[in-house]
Amino acid sequence: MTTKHTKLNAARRNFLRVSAAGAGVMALGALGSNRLPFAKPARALPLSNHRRLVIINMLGGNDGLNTVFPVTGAQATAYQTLRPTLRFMPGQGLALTGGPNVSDYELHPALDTVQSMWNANEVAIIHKVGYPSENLSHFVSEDIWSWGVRGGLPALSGIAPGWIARYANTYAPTSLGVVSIGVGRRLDFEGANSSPLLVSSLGSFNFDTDFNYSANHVLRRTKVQNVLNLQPAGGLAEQVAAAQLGSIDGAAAVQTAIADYTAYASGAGIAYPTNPGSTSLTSMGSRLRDIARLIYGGFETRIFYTGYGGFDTHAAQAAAHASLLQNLDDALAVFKTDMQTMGVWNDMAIVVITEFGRRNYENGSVGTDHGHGVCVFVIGGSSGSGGHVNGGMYEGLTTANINAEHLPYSVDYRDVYRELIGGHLGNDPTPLFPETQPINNIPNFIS
Amino acid sequence: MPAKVTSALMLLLLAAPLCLAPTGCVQEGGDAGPPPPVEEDLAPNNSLNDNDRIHFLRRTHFSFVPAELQRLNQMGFGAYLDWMLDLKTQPALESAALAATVPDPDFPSQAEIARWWIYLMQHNENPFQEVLAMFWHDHFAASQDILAAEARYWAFAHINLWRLHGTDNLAELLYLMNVDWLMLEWLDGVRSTRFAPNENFAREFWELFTLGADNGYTQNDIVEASKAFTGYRTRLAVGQAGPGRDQLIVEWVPNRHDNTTKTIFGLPFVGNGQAEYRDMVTLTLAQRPVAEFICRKIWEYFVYLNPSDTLVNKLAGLLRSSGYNLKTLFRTIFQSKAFFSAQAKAGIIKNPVEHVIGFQRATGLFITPTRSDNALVDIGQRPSTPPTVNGWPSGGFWLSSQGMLERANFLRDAVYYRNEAPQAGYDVGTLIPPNMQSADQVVQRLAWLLQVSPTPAQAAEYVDYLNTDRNGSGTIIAQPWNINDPVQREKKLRGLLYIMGQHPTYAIR
Repeated sequence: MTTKHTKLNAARRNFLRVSAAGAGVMALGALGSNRLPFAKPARALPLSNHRRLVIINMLGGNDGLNTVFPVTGAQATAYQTLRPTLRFMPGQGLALTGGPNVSDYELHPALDTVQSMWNANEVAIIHKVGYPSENLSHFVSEDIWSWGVRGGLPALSGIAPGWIARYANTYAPTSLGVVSIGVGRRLDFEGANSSPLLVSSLGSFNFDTDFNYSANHVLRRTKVQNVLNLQPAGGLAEQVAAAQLGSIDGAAAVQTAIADYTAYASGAGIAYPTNPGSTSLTSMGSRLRDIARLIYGGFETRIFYTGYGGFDTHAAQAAAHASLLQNLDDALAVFKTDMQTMGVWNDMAIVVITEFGRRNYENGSVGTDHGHGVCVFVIGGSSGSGGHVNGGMYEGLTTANINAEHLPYSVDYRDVYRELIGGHLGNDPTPLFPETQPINNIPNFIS
Repeated sequence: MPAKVTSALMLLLLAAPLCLAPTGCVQEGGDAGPPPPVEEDLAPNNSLNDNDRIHFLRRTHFSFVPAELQRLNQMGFGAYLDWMLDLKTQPALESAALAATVPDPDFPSQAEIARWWIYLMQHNENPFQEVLAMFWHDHFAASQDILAAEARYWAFAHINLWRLHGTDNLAELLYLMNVDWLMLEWLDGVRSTRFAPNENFAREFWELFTLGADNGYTQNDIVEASKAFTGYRTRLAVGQAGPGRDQLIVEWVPNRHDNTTKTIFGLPFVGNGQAEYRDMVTLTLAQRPVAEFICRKIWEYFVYLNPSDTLVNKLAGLLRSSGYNLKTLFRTIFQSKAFFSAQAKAGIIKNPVEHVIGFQRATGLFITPTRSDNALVDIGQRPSTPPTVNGWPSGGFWLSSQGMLERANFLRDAVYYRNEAPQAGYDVGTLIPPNMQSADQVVQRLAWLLQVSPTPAQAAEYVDYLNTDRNGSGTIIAQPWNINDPVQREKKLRGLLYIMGQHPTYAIR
């Protein structure tokens, strides 16, 4: 069978409903080499001098033009004309003029944390990111971002379909080398032979207890493990046993990390944002906290992938879009404090992506339809010696760009990834993106 | 086997008269050359023992269940196959499923549709009907997730297509798939018009459903075929389900259909209105190796991976010469020597549905369709919502750490919800016959029931579990097994089933 995903169902579109579901194929080597796919940390402390990348996907197609909008010159006039009701006038957004970098754009008013990070030289904004020949289907466009290939996978036979799988296989071949939280089975991870941890939430990665016989249930778990350890080498059963032992080790390690983190966070007074009138965390609050838990646990994860949905704002966009951006901005504020408290903020880069932007003109339903080029944010600690985010505006908009139907793309999304992998993670990105691109324009936002 | 002999065999098979009853036909061409190796031998195996029959049940029935083996032995294998392959509507079962899971069948929820099918899987006395439906559902994969609330009732007809027609003539099955409402919505058929034909369905019709990628069609063929697949649209039928209850329907609108002559596979494809959805099946079957593609897929699901081309060609020849009669094909496969060969018995990773439904059917530890559905969502295979048009992943993909953990958590659910319907009052001790009540015998009995293969050292762990307990302060204490102690009986038999369900071989069918 060829691996092909032409159309994806709502389990991917409405990923919020996707529950815990793992993916990944166990390596076919000897049992011994797979017995402990979860590398156990030597200590419950975050690894220092360990570069990490967090990918946050705004699923559904974020309206980049209203996220970072022009406030001067003919660009601003063109933008305001095409968006008679959805536009922000100069001063209605948050200025990008503090700190070392000055731009002719403002941020959506919900992004006050991002503004403060900009002022600290911690935010790079790259507008007009996309890929050759736009495709306006969510599914196709998400697949292109996930595969790291525009022209279809068959032309590149013999490689793992997902680009993160290729990264894992090449640079981080352990179960926690690359991790996905809260976004279902992303195709980015397909083909990884290290059984990556893909979870709806860390808390769910645990063995449930038979409360009728709680004490006896502990004995049952011991017996399960004893039997697995007695499984002789050979055949399919050996592969199954390796995956099962991986789940046992993984659950134990993750639950330990959660407990350790909880003690630390409570002592440090770190609390992620909750939903209004509720004690439950916001979606991005919960997911960024899960990432923090793994970092605190001392795991060797290089790439964390998370995200949230709802950006497909075809109608009544204004309030919905503000609320979506607020969700991320509030969670980022706590996450930065958390990372600074752990002392790892300067080893962190966060990239905020989406499958495409939206149409330049608003539609008849006070919303926007699918578009193409879009702004990408790269955020991270800017101090330190090399490999750190250098804030600023790396690609802007011309009047002609805005007056077109779609923003074009002038930076290939793979060039954003290249800069992050090469500049920040310190790995050669060449084997990850083998396809020839019409535009090669790497923005040098890592110094 | 030399290729020359093979093609001679093929000619023989194709030239032979229709072979509708394989048992009565020469399948091997025994006169034409040496017999094929056993793993490719399609001649009937007429000397099945109980282990063979158990193997057959595990591959085709979610799991082995002793009562099903008993029925099979009473009916005889041939008669059982006839009964099993004769897929019928079962009004009593189907209305019970609906009553148990769907309060308003005109406007079901997504979860209710999944639960409805799960109920059928749990209770169908012919589980092959549901196993085969899942196979076709995975092959012709379409998800009900895309349906709007007014259209969601289409999912029942879509699932019943696979449940009721899965052993029909392949041409008929393909035609019914082409005009199925969910499929028309899923691959954009209802948005494909003569003014703007949509290529989505035309491409998948060949690439995923009948031929395989790049196997005998061109982009131009897809463009032309997409013109044939035009003419349907959706319409809101106001009040169809009662006053104020509007449902979506699919209807044929001749003016949306491109009735020109198309050129497909270099041949003229004459405008024929709605019938082009059937003509396309006829043309593709006549011109391209659909039989090979379908036979390989069936073989890999039910028998073993990577069958040789020789074998696939032989199966395809059988399918063609039977006039695409799927019953004949399945009957040939399920009674063949190859189906019971060592290669076939080497094992295939169970998919999550087999794990969840099979354990319940084998042990009687049923949990509600809702809980079963939750477990399947967690493990990653909710029936009625395949992740892509390519269906679910298979084999080693399921061996993720998270997937294994969720399989264990389903087993926990099955042993835990003992005070809740449908399990309340169920005595798990009835799984143990009166003459097999020692700890050793209980382990032996449950290993047989679950068809797991513990080593002696692993079996000793199981026996040790029965003979001990862990007290509240965490100390392991001796507690010799006594099936007549009602507490031990409940606690330890459930516990042993939970532990054995996590034996590595339990994940393999």
